[in-house]
Amino acid sequence: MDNAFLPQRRIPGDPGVWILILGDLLVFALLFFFFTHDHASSRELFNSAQGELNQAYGVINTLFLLTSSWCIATALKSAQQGKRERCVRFTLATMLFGVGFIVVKLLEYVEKIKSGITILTNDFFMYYFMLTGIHFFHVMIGMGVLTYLCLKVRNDQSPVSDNLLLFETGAIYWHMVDLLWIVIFYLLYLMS
Amino acid sequence: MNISLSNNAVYFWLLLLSAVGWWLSHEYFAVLGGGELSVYISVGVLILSLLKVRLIVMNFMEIKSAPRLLKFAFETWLLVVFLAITLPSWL
Repeated sequence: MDNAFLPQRRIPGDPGVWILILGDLLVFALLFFFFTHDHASSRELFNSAQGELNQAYGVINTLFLLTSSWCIATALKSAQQGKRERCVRFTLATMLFGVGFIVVKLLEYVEKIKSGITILTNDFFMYYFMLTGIHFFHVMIGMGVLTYLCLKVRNDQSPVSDNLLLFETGAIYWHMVDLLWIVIFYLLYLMS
Repeated sequence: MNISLSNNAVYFWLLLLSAVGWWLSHEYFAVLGGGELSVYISVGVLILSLLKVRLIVMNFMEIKSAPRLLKFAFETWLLVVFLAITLPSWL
């Protein structure tokens, strides 16, 4: 078969970001294993503690992050097409949903702490605060990256395509934040 | 299998899979309680969640057109996460 007709395989974004992402994903896979291992040995405690979580917060935050992922993917497509204004608009929308996630998460933390639930309450809440806390830290880094990308694309006088690699790398990081939340949401709010 | 999906189509599937997953998990909490069937439903919801992750990885992160090694690494990670979550319950 003539390979000239096959699409070229390429590494999206900066190759270095994949090392960071794969390392991060491996650490989270390990944390997921520890969580389910402890869940299996204290099933009743984990299930009753899970009942104290407000699933609505998790559902809203999942919607926020899924939508933000779609927004940044659309922003990237706009950048690839050289549409600067559209790219900036969708990056801002991504950030808006990111802020929404942060606000909802903080509300949830405040609600838990006000009702006397902390990281020391039991093993379930130790994992709850640890997993969501580390993820929250990733969201904050992602917000910083998005802010930088947005300003760079908006203020740079050069064509949008000049910043494509940088933009793609930032978008990939944001998608990782989203996919990690999908698994964390399942473990903490849905798994039985 | 590499099916090319537009961003809008991926978003639609993500929302649809999420809705089915939430509905299923809500049903087993409300109706089935701690019965044996609820374990299978819980695994079903996990598979739906990992399908969402795969949709994001393959389409939004553009891994479907990346070198095979990178694609293989992500497929392996998905399998590892599935086993890491399900095995402790069965062992």
